[in-house]
Amino acid sequence: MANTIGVIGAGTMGSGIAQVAALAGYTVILYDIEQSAIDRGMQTIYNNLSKGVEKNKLTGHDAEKAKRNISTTLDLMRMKSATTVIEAVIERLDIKQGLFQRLDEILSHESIIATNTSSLSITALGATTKRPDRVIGMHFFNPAHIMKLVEIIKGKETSHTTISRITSLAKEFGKKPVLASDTPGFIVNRVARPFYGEALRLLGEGVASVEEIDRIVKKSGGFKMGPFELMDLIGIDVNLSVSRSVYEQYFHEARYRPHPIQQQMVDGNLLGRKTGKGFYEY
Amino acid sequence: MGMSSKKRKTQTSNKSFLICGDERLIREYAEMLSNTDADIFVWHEHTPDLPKRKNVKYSRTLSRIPKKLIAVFELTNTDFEKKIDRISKIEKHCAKETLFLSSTVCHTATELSTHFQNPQRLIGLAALPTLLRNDLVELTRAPLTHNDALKTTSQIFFDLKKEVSLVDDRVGMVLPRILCSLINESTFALQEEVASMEDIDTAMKYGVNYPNGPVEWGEQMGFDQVLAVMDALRKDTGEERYRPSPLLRKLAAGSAIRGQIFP
Repeated sequence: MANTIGVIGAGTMGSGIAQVAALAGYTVILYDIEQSAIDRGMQTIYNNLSKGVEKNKLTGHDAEKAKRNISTTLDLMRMKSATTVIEAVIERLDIKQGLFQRLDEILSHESIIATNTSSLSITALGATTKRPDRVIGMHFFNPAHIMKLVEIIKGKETSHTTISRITSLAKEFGKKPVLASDTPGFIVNRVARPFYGEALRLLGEGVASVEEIDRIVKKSGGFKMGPFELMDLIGIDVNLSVSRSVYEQYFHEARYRPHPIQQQMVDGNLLGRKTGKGFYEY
Repeated sequence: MGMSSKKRKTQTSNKSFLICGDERLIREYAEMLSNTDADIFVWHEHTPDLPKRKNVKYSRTLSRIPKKLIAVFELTNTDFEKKIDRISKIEKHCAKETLFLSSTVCHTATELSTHFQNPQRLIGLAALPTLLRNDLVELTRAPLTHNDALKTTSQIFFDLKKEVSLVDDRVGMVLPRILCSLINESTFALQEEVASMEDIDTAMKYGVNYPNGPVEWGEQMGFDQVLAVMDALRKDTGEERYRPSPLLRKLAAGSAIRGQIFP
């Protein structure tokens, strides 16, 4: 009971988080509204665990134990036994707020509701519950079972105890937690904006080509990927949506303004790796 | 343009380079060039912190530096008047054919070339501290720059095991513009208490695999250098997006005074 983690949403992020928690020894209950989503999520977890064993990152025993630690459900009431629930559903405030209200009724008084949101206000989510002091952001990076960083985001009402409990949990998951205040884009999605924004402007102004900008950033700056390679990997539509969200939440601050090239690529369905063509062809 | 090995051998035995400009850059370029068999002459108003190598020589006056040089590395970003004064004095001192590699992160090569007697030997260089750790150097040219100047520059960097990339002549060039904008953004986040300095750096290194955290990178680079680039971008474009954060200005004042701001 004390070690039960609820994960809401069995998509890419939810299944990754469930895997991380299960590997850390927690009992995990993975919830989704559709059985097909749960099946896909569990298949992803099983595949990742097998790859981990193949690459000698995990023992077969650890992988089997992690699998046994995860149970799945279509019934939200089963979250009652969870001490922490990590929500990873679609990035829509109305849907998350509705979910938080239901969780607030189901969960025990001490339980924490953490959200994996990358763009929504923790304060706004907390305000829909009677426990804003126990609502917190826990932002994992994709793929969650590989990326070390977790942004812990404190809403206006989040208590020190909640911050401390979730920070410890992230460490037990083997992650590197950082603490951020509840501001648009938190740390990474905000500070990284110029990496893409300036590269797009340099391209738009004809200072250098896509290939040359990527080459300079990697070979002169020491970055593992150039901005255009990275946008293609993230998805040009996803990157535009993050840019737009930060820009709008900062009331049109010039530093975050998206670039027309991004919109043009999205209009042309040139979204990067996932459509076979973005700034590069795949 | 390929050079014969015979010619290259003759050149290396008489190589001399002159370096002047901002102190952090002088140190890094002296370090890089000292690994060659060339004589490195550093011209500066006061003794900079230099690598202790036999072939690195410091002089307060130009008169003690040979007139015949392979190239001049003029690395001033933070003070335009000083930059122009240095360029004018070096041009008067050196032989006419001397190659002139000048930092063009805060001014275009085109603008800079108007201050030259012989602009055909000017090559713009993305000289910003920390960038020599890696394998590529960004170059640009002014309208009157001679093709031979570009070829000789490429050969110099080739001998130093560096690739070059020629970009359009624009303030901030490519990497300095991206990098300084990132560092500026991190100082806005720091100022607004979005997170601590350490957490901002950790987040960018572990969340998006940056080679350095932006705050520590700014410190290594010198916040005065970052500020010079942001001020130049803002002046050049007139765009609000390049406005330096008030914290960056304070950090820059600190780094100009003490060399570093953090203990």
